Amino acid sequence: MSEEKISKKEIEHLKSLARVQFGEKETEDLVGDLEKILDFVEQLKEVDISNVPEMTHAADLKNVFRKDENPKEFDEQLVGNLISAFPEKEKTYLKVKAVIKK
Amino acid sequence: MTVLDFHEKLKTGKTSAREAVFGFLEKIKKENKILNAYLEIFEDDAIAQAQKIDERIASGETPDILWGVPVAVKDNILIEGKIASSASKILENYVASYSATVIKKLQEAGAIILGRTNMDEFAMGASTENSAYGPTKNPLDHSRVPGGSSGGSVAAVSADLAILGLGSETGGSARQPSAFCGVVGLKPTYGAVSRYGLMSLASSLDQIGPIAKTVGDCKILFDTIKGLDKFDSTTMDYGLRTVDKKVKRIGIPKEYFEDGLDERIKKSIENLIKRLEKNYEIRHVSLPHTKYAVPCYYIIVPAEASSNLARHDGIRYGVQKKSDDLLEVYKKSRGMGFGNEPTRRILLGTYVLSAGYYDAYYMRAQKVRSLIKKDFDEVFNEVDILLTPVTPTLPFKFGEKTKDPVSMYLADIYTCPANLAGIPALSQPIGWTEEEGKKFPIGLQLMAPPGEENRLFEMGKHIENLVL
Repeated sequence: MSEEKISKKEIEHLKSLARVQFGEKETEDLVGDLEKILDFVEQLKEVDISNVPEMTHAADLKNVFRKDENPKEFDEQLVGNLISAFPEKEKTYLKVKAVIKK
Repeated sequence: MTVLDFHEKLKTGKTSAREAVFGFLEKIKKENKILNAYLEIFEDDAIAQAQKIDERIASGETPDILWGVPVAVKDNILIEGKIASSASKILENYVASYSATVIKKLQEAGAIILGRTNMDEFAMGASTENSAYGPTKNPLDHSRVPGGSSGGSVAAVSADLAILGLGSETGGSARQPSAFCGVVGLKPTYGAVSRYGLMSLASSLDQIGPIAKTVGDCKILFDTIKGLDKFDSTTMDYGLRTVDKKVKRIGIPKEYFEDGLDERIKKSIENLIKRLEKNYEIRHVSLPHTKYAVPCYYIIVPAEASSNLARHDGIRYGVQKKSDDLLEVYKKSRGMGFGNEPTRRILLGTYVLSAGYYDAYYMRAQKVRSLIKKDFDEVFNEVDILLTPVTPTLPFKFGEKTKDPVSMYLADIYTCPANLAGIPALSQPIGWTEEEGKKFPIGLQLMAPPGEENRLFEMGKHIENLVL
C-alpha cells in the first residue's frame, strides 16, 4: 500500500458531512476499506486524459423541455399517500425539530 | 415454464391464471424459506388479479401474451401500497406512494406481480449478501451466492418461483446473477426503459433489467416495459432510434479473455466461437481501456450514490430515529439505517466530490469514461456485435468476498463497461460445467450499439438454438 490516503480524522469529517453516525469499530474498518478502494482506483492515473472531454451522461440528449404548464393533474390519492408516509406529522403538515434554536 | 408455453396453455384452456398462481404460491411457500428469494409475497392481490384474468377469458376475450404471467419484482421498484425497502433497514416501513412506470405497464399488459424480491441493499453489491434481510441462496447450490444485486428476482426465475423477473442494472446487477443462476438477463440501452419509480443508485448508469428463462421471453418483457415516458426525461423514443440490421460480423475483444478468466468459461466460449465461424465473420478486436472500467465505475457510482442517498434522512419517509436535535435525527437515522456497503459508498462519494479531490478523482474518472465509450464507438464501426464472458468466475461461496470490497467489485469487470458506455448487453447461459460434484451454468455476454437490442435478441436466439 502506498502512503496513507485517508486518516481517521478525515473519516470523522466525512461522516459529519454525510450526516451519518456510528461507532469506533465501524469507523476503523472504514479507514481500511476506503484505503483499499482509493489504492485500487489509483491506476486511473496511468491513463492519458489530455484533451479528453468529461463524459457526464450515457444518453445523447439535448435539453428536454415541456410546455410551461402543470404536467400532472392534481392527484389527491398520491398526496394522501405521501403525507401518510411522514414519520411525524400534525394534521397534513410534516413535523420536524426546530432548525433555529430559541 | 416459459411465457410462450404458459400463454399457449392459457389460450387453449389447458390452464387458468388462478391455477398457475396457486401453483407458484405453493412452490414459493415450500422453497422460499431456504432460498430467501422473495421478501414478501402478495398472495391476495395475485389471486385477485388472476381471478380477473380468468373472468376476462371466460367472457370470450383472447388473452394477450403476458396475461396471467407471474412476475417477481426487485425491492427497489415501487408498487403503490406495497413496502419498497431496497433491502435496507432505513426503508423497512416505507410504503410506496405510487407505482413505477414499468409496474403500470406490466399490470396493463395483464401480468401478475407475485411479490418483491431480495437484493443487495440499495443495489450495491454482486452477491445479495449485502441485504439487511439475509442473503439469497443460489438455487443450483445453496452454499453459493446467486450473484447480485438482483439476486432475488434472478433466483426466483431460476428456481421456477416466477416466470419473469424485474431487476435493476447499474454495473451488471441483472446480467451477473443471471450468469450465476443460468437464466437470461438484459441491461437495456440507457434511456430505453423508464426509471420513474426505480430507486436511484447512480442515475447516469441505472436501467431496469428484464430477467427471463429464454431470450424470447426476455424480448417480450423488454418490449412491454420499454419506451418514452414523460416522467423520465432521459427516456427516448425507441421506435425512431432502432435500426434493424442483420448481424454479420462478431467482435471478440481480447481484453475480456485475459488472465483471471476461469479456464472452463473461456473454453466453452471459444468452442461456441468456432461453431459460429460457419455463418459469421469473426473479428478479433481490442477495447484498450477495459481494465480501467472497474476503477472508473467505483468513483462515479459512489459519487452519484452519495448524492442520491442524501434523500434518505428519516424526515419525510422511512425510519426516523428520535432525538431532540434535528442534526442528531439525521445522523442517527442514517447511521443506523444504512448497512456497511451503502455507508462505504456514501463516504467514498463524499470524499471524491469534496473540494480539492474533485479533479483528481471524479473529473478524471469521467474523462476515462469518455475513452471507454470511444473504444466501443470505434469497435462498432468494425463489427455488429461483441461476444464476451459475463463473469470471470463461477458463482462464489458465501463469505468469500465480503471481507475485501475490491475483490467483490471485480465481479463486475466484464459487465460494468456497458453501463459506463450506455450500450445494451445481454447475458445468457450457453452450457454447463462441474465443480465439487455440482453443475454450474456458463454465461455468455453479447453487447451491441445503443438502441440495438434487436441485434442481441436475434443473435441470442440463434445461439440458444445452437447450444440447447
